[in-house]
Amino acid sequence: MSITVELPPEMEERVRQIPDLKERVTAFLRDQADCEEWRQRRYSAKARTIAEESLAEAEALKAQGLGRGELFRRFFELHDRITRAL
Amino acid sequence: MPACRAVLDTNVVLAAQRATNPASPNREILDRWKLGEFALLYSADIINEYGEKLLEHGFSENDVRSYLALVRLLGERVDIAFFRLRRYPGDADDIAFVLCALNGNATHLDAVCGQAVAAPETVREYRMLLYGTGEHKGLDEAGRPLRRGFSAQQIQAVLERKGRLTRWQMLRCRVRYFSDGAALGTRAFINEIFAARREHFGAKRTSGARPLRGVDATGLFTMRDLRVDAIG
Repeated sequence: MSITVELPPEMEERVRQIPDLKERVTAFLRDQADCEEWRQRRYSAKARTIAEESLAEAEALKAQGLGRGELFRRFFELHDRITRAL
Repeated sequence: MPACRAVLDTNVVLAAQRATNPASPNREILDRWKLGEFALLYSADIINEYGEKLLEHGFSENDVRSYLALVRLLGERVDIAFFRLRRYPGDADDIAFVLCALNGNATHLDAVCGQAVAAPETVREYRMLLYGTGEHKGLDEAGRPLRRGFSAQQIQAVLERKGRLTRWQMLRCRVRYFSDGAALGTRAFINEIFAARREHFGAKRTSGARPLRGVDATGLFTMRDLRVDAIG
């Protein structure tokens, strides 16, 4: 398997200076593959789907331009309702 | 940007009744987050972890999604660049939190291994903050401070003691060791009671005496190791 990665121009020269780039990238990808396998084993598909969807919801809230105060008000309202039911 | 960067375990964020009680340490942490005293760090795995726990408790998908969306917006995302740890925590539930703390340069990691927030630490930090910012300012013609506060000597003493109370200062506070500590005295005295009442304690416990947290009480021990609100 080979991968082509387009680097931003400001990185290119600096990355060229790395002597064992291939080994380092391989080690990083091995680490990430381990992380991904662990993640798949640990969390249910449903939890992962909702986590993904929460990203879209966060983007939608962000687009509404709500201030930090309002976000915290909503957070605590939901948090209190959830923790009371636990 | 807050100087403190914290990772909060699920049982701190979602600690049932304790988190809704305004006097609980768990609630205090969330309130201090709201005040901007620290940045709450999260990773993709922590979002999964919070979500999994909420789903386990039967909350609706809408509520879980909204809760996670708000954590994403109010917290600071940490990408897990390195997954390998020299030693993983014994409890698999803690892995996501340790990874996030290490990858995100956290200054605080709460409740790993199921322990509640170390209240004495909070008290110590608070005392140091209080004394650090509470210095009296200026003097009037009679030599009295224009803004009442602590003298430079008092501040220095507290900072040197890293916020710990002296025995005499402790006696002016509400001290749970007096009511919930079960017994208070020298190490030999506490161990003697422990030996005499051995059947009241767990099989793994090997000694009775425990030091008092958050106070310089040399020679004074308690039977119970109170971790939350020992002195307030």
